[in-house]
Parts: sequence; structure tokens; C-alpha cells
Amino acid sequence: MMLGLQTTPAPPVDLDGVDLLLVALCVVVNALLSIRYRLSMERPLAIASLRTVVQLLGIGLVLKQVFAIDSFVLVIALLCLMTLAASFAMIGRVRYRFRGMLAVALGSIALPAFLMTAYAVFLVIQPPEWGDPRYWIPLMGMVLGNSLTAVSIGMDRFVSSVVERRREIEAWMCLGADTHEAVHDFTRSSIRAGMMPMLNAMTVVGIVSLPGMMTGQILGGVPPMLAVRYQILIMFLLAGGTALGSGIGVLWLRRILFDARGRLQRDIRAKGA
Amino acid sequence: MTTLIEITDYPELFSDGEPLGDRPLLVETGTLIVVRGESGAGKTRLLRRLLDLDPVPLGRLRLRDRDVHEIPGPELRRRLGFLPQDPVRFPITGREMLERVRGFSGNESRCVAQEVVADWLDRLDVTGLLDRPLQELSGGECRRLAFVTMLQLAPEALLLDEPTSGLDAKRVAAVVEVIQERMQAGCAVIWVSHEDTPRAFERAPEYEVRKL
Repeated sequence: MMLGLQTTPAPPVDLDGVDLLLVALCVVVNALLSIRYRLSMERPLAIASLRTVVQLLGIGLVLKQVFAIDSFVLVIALLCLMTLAASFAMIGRVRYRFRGMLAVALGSIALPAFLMTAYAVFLVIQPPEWGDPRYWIPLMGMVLGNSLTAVSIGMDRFVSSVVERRREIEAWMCLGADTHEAVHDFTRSSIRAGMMPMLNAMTVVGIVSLPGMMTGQILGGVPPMLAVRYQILIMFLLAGGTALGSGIGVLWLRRILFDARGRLQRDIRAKGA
Repeated sequence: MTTLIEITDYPELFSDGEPLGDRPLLVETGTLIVVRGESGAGKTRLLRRLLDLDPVPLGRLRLRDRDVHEIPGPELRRRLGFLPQDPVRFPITGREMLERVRGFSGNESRCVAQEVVADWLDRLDVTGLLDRPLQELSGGECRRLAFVTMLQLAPEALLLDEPTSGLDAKRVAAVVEVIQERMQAGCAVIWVSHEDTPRAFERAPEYEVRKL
């Protein structure tokens, strides 16, 4: 089904199983490199390729059902599942473990994702049917994916700074700083680090990179100028979402990593330790 | 003289080879006590407990009749001027360090006048180092700068961890002179060291920290 926005519907060429097998041959390059230079990436590569196929076919089936049933409750349920998955993926990318980590991950991923997507759907796009899953699911998926990167970079940076440069923080506190003042430099650099990838992406978009969603729309027959306008919408949503996510994540961490007396939480452990 | 710091029920503390037991260790205003102990015995830990930085509590530690845990952290730490043995070299210059500390909320009202700070910097011979990154300075230079940074908050007590180790005689004399002035102004001092104390403080009461 088309977005119903294009003037001349031109359905893209169908891709069958043989086509997908053909394109899977591209991964042979990875395999050859891995074997030649003993990168021992063959196994992970095979698993990752398999996951790509299985996970995407899976979500395809789910989306087909969700679109068919057309119930907003179901859409919300799916969005919540996606958020949960993103939070767990995020935790996997931070090098430390500590109390309250899941709550911070969930909060700093869920809030920007729902907020940004709702903003885009209700105020910007205003589709004829406000609960249309064709807007909610892809938009939110994009915001989630990018917030995931931003929040995990920001959180990882903050926790590792606080742990590795703990003496500096204590030294500032000994000179009369409160907790916020003592970690001020780390708060700034962590939020900044979280926002950086999106800033870089916005700088090169259209020149060096053609975003996947825009490419997809063009392949789907949407006129380029409309696809571009959608892409601009997405870029700003992502910019807001990543900033909100890394801001919430880092500021929330600052709250929970220190006790009421300004001492660092004791059970912060390096991953795997 | 009034009691500024009171330490009781701290089993690691000894006096004349005997455990203090339930006798309190008192530091009066304008006086200095020396705390000795082998390395690793817990001298620094005692100071960290006074500053409420160590999460494992031991004994009863009071500052002017108030338990240290009851005093808000920033206030407690500004009133107890702590000079660590090896001060942190922040990735900034000495001048930036001095200024940042003056800017912390709650510090402004306590800070001594700039002229007083300039005088201390001169006497400790660190004025010329102010614009160099702390990370380029030697241990002794860094310690003297950290000393002035802490002094500008006009602390009521000084907690000094090996304050003169590695300094030459001239620098030791300058540091001692500044400490004596602060004592005359009412400062109580805890001097932690495993070296001989300077002559000026030879007759100060001595305590020992032993690991149990």
C-alpha cells in the first residue's frame, strides 16, 4: 500500500527470494576479509546476517498484522516493546553497571521517542487518521534508533568520567563545591558527546549520505521533493530526540550516582567485573 | 579556647601506645595536633571520615558540637580545609582553579580578600606559576597552590596530610609561618605525617593511628 501522497503511483519492482539470495552474496566480501586476515568474524557475521533476515522478516509480518488490524492499542503495545528493546540494547553499550540503570535507560529513551513522534504526528503531519500505524511505527523507530546511540554515548561518557576521575570530583567537593558543581565539566562533555553524532549527520546529509528513509520513499515512488521534505522532518525530530534523550539521561544519572551526602554510589561495576 | 573538633569512640586511635578508649580526642581552636601512623594505617581515612567522604562510618566525629553527618556536605568541607598529600592536578591552570573555587555557590561569602590570597601566593612562591597548567607543575608546587586554594575559603580547621614532605627548608618555613598565622586567627590544625614535624610544632600533642 502506498502512502497515498504521490501523484503518479509507480510500485517498486518486486524482490523475491532469489533476489535476496543474490544480494546476500555481498557479505562474501566480509567473509573473505575475515578469513584472509584471521579476524575471526565469520561466526558473528553469519549470525548477524541471519538475524538481519529473521528480525526484518519478523517485523514485516508484525507490521502486516498491525496494519491489517488497525488498532491503536496494538500500535502502542508494539511501540512499548520497541522502547524496551532499545533500552536493553542501550544498557549493553554502557561499560558500567549500577543500581537504577534500567530506569534511566527506559526513561531517557521512552520520553523523547513518544514525545517527538506524537509531536510529529499530531502537530506536523496531521494524517487524516491520527492513529495510523504507518506514521507512528516508522517515525518512532527512527527516533528510538538515534536516541539509543545518543543516550548510550552520553551515559557511557558520564559514568566512566565519574568513575575514572572520581578524585577530581572529590577534590572539588573538598573545596566547597556541591555535587552539581563538582561534576559540571563531565555533565557538559557527556551531553555534548551524546548530541555530536546527530550534528555530524545533519552536516553531511544529502551531500555525503542519502538517508535510508528518503531512499526508501523514492524507491517506493514518492516524488523526490516530497521525500526530501519528509527527510527534513525526520532530521529535526532526531535532533530534538537525541538532545532530549542525552540531556535527560545524563542529568538523571547525576542524580542517582551520588547519595544525599554527595558521595558516589558504591556499587558501580565495570561490565563483566 | 573552645573545642572545634571532637573525635570519640574511634578504636584505631592511640596515645602514648595506649588505645584512647572512651577518652575523646579534642582539637581546640588555635591549636595543632599531630597524627602519626604507618602508611596504610588509616591516617588519610580519618581525615576523609571527618570530611564525610568515606562511606564506612567509624567513631563519632563532631565539628563544634555537631555531628559531621548532620552538616551539609559543602558547608562541612568548606569549614574543614583539607590539603591532601598529593593534590589532584585538574586539567586547568592554578589561576583558573583559584577562581573556580571562589565561584562555587556558598563560597563567595566566605572567601578572603584577593589581596590576602595574593600575599599567600607570594610568600609560598607560587605567583609565577599561576598561568601554567597544573599538570605541568611538580608535586611540591602543586601542593602549595592547593594550600592557598583551600585557605582562601577561610576554613575553621586545617586537615593537612603530609603538608611539608618533599619541600626544601625555605618552603617548609613559609608553609609553617602561614599555618601559625591561621592558628593565631583561631584555626585548629590536624597535622598528619609520618615524618618529623617542624620545630615549631615539636611540642604538639601526638596521636597514632593503627590498623586494627
